[in-house]
Amino acid sequence: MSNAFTNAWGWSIKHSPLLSVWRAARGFVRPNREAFALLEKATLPESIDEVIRSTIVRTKLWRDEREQIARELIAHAQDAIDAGREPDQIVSTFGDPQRVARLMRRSMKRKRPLSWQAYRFSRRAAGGLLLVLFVSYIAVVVRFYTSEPQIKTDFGAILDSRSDGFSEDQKSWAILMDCGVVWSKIEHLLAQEQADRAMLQTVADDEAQDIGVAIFPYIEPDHPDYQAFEEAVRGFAPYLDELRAAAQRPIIGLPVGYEPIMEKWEGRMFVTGVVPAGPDEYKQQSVIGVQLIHLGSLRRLSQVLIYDARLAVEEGDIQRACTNYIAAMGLARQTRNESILYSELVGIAIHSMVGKELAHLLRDRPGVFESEQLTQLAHAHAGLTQLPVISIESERMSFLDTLQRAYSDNGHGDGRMTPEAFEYYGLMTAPPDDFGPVSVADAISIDPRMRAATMPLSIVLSNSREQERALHGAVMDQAQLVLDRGVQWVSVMRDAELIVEKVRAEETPMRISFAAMMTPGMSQVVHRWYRYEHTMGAISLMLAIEAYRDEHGRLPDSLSMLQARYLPEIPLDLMDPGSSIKYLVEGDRYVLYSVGSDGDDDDARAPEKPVDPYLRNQETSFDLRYPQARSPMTNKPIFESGGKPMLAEPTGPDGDWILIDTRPVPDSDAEAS
Amino acid sequence: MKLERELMRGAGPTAVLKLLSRRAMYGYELVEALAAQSDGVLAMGQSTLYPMLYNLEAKGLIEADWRDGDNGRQRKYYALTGKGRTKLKADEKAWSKLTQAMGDLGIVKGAPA
Repeated sequence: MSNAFTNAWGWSIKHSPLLSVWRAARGFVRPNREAFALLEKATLPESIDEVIRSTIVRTKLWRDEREQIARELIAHAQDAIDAGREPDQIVSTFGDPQRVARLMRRSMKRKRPLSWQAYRFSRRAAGGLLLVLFVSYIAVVVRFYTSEPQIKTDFGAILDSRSDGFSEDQKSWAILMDCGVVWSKIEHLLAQEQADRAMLQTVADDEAQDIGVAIFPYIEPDHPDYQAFEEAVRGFAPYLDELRAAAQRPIIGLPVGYEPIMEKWEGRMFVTGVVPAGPDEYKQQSVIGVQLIHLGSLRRLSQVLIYDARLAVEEGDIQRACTNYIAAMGLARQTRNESILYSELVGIAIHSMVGKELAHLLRDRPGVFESEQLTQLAHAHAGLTQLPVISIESERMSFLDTLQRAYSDNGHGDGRMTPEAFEYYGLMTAPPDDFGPVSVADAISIDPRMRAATMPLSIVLSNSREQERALHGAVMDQAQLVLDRGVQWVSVMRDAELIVEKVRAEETPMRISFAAMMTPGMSQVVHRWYRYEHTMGAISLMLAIEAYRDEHGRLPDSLSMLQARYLPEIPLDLMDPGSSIKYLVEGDRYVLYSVGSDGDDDDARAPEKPVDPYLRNQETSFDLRYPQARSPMTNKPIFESGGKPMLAEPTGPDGDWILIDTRPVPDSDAEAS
Repeated sequence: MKLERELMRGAGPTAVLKLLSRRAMYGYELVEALAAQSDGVLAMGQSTLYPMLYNLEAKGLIEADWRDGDNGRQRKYYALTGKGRTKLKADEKAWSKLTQAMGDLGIVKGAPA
């Protein structure tokens, strides 16, 4: 028992990792000390001594191992000498010290403790694994850097084909661009003055512009910059004439295949024009980069028209105001006619803005328009209501165009990410003011050398072309389904959107997803469309009610009195199936509203607080939150057949969606008292 | 005549185990015994012997300890372990079969038929 214990104890000591570490560490300090001391002591013939020393040194073993070998070789040599062997003979039978040392080293290492053997095995395994990984990575690198995209479809030409059959004087883009540049420069100066006045001289130009943008278009007469702003709008009058004429044209017609002309003015870059791109330049110019350049300008110019309308009303020139509203609706119509998703959204926003402005005007001055003016407004409005439902096809084209510029093509619709994908990704994620090519390193904050080394991993970590197309396509398909079938199907969209959100959350510099970056929030788009449908219906009703009032000298008692003579059909409240938009009369004022997402008629009482954060600062309490499906997704319509909405949690807030409200704004002092 | 390296790699360890099965021996003694008892066929130098001994020791077939020799100097004596004995028996059987097969083929003269 005692012997077994001693053996076990000895084995444990011998194979202890600590002992191995100690023995290895000793080898770094005078590793031949003991071995050479033994040789000194042995006083062997010089030739033998030299061979043994040489062998010992070359073994590169631990210090105690060298000592063991030295002892053994010395004993061997002494035995040979005792047996009468000559030193030369002993040396000749010894062999090459290099080879002997190598054999000794190998065999001695096999005798080392288990802890060391385990360490060596794990080190070799790790080395082997690293080698496999390295070789695999080299294969990935070669595969990545030899891939290149093939641009096979000219989506730009497809988009440009919308302008086929229209002459240049039927297109408004050149006038819009001229007016836009002039107004941008005026606004830039206004913003700088504003910054100076606010004693923000140290603020960078960009920030100064932001301040200006933040105030416009909500600037009110009591604002310190209002007078300067008013003067600027009056000074813009010649361009407004051009703008009103341009708004009557059928289309904008801005070609996709163009190159922007940039000009630096007062420290800021402006797009001052475009030049047509050559026949092959679409290969360098993506659809994404060229189709949106005019939208901001369009929105601004519409706002200026509305401001000028306010000035006209103050001056008593109602016809000019009317013409401006009609021109703004013309711009909205042209923008929606582009059939590009973001253009459509801008068109919707401009039209909604006009509707809101008309409501405010009628609130402040009931019966302000004459019969002829109301007819003109109704015609301009009808030009928009007759347009088809919002188109998302361009969005699909934009995405497919991106894929063909970023991925290789295996001929069957699939492919892998290419180096161009990263450049393209960087370009797309660059700040909006940068028009030149931007390196992905700037965009995703990663060292270029690190990027070059790690980019190839993207073909392993990122989605394939087909996966990206499917991811984007699923959201678009579901959005199209909701747009085709009605608002009651809105909850089906969350399935695909959640998947995209998950991919977006998991993006890294090596795992990028164009679908995650480019898939628009289609729920918001669809919500916006249905909100717009409500708004369009309400504007139609408002104009019809005003026409009725103009003719009869009073408001209609009910909306049914408008049917046929003033409106072919009474617009529906989409949240109250089968029922029209609600109408509430208070004296010579009226409200048009929807029952909203709670499905209950609350007598034109808005929800106390808009739930949607985007709406908190807006005047209309128009809650966008259509009922959402609970998890797991129901994929069912939110309405019972012919009944009220089946509201899923969370339900919409208590209250109605106020679409048009001509009631006086409550006096805040009176309210407080 | 000396064996080729590959043949020595197979025969050498068995020969060493066999010598050690008789009694514990030290390195030089093994070199001499191998040369004498195999008529030089299994003669090997230190460069072959000691790595072989370390390998056998690592496998647990032999064990070593330092003892005082006849001349008063210390020598490292190698002796067979139980595991080594078992291995030797297995090797002897294998060599016997091999020799017989070679005899049957007429390669080894005088081998038992």
